[in-house]
Amino acid sequence: MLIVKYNIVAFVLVIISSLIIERTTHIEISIGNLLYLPMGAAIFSYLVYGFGVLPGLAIANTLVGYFLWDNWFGIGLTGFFGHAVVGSLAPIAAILTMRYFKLSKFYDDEDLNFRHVIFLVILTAMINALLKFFIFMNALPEFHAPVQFILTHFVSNTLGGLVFIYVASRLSNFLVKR
Amino acid sequence: MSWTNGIDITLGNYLWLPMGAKILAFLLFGLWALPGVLLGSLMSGYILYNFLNVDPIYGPLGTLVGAFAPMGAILIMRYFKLSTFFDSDKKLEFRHVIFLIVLSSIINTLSKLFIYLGRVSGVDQQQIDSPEFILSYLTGDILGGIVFILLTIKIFMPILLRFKLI
Repeated sequence: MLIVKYNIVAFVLVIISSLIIERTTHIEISIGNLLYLPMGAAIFSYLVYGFGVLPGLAIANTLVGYFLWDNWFGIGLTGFFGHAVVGSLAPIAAILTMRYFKLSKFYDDEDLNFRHVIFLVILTAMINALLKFFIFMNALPEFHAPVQFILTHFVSNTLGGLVFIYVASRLSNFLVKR
Repeated sequence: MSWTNGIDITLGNYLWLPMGAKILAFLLFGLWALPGVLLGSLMSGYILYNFLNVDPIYGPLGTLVGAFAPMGAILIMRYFKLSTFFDSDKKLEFRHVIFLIVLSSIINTLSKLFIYLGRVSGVDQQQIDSPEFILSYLTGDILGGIVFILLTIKIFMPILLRFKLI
């Protein structure tokens, strides 16, 4: 039952963060949004609840792409692979990479090691931007600026990840203390 | 490496051994290796690859990026306290070094793509194809880095030590 609860929390986090950026900024798939909060929601969920929240995150990403972004702005299945599949799996790939190379366990006793988490966010953003680049470059009708695509997606995922995790960890510390 | 492949800046060599040499130099000698690495990179770029013919500005700039990328990757990993690259017995921590090679290769490849794209062209004046550029440079840097460091540490060093040459 606990894993279902965790999945629901992860689902809600991704939906809320997607709604925030949808309401406040302009979303376009060929240029990264400059503060992509859902990436932070995904990384935070994996770090706190483990990889079991993958179904919740994948469903949330799929619903956001299909309904909120109108079937990924009309590119359908490619959009699903780029946004839902890569977006949900990139943080797992980054966490597993850092664990495999014995770079970090992300926790000192019970506290998050923020330096390592910042690097994890950067690594996730890099993996995400590069994989999306290879998936979208043939699918998008007007793909003229690979440098702009990689840079904006990398910056948006990094900033969104850092902002979300910082705010979420502060908020959860505050709630735990109260 | 100049014998194994033609000179085409739009495509990476699939076994770029100099990446391993630069990483090992920075790991063993620290930042003091920078002048030597810079000089070696610029000389090989000028003499073997004739980078001035590619472009008088962006050719050398790409070579400089190749020299600074491993240093940048080491500084990043040290800043985030991910590794010191040596264990308590002062032996190289291979897992960390392999990750360092991957990180250096990503920094080198993407920086070169940003510098070269739309500014330089290869033989027959063909333009850079971004996916092909990224894949070839990334593969070449990673493979070259791993092969060079493994050969040096596991084969050449023991031989030199056995015959008391160092």
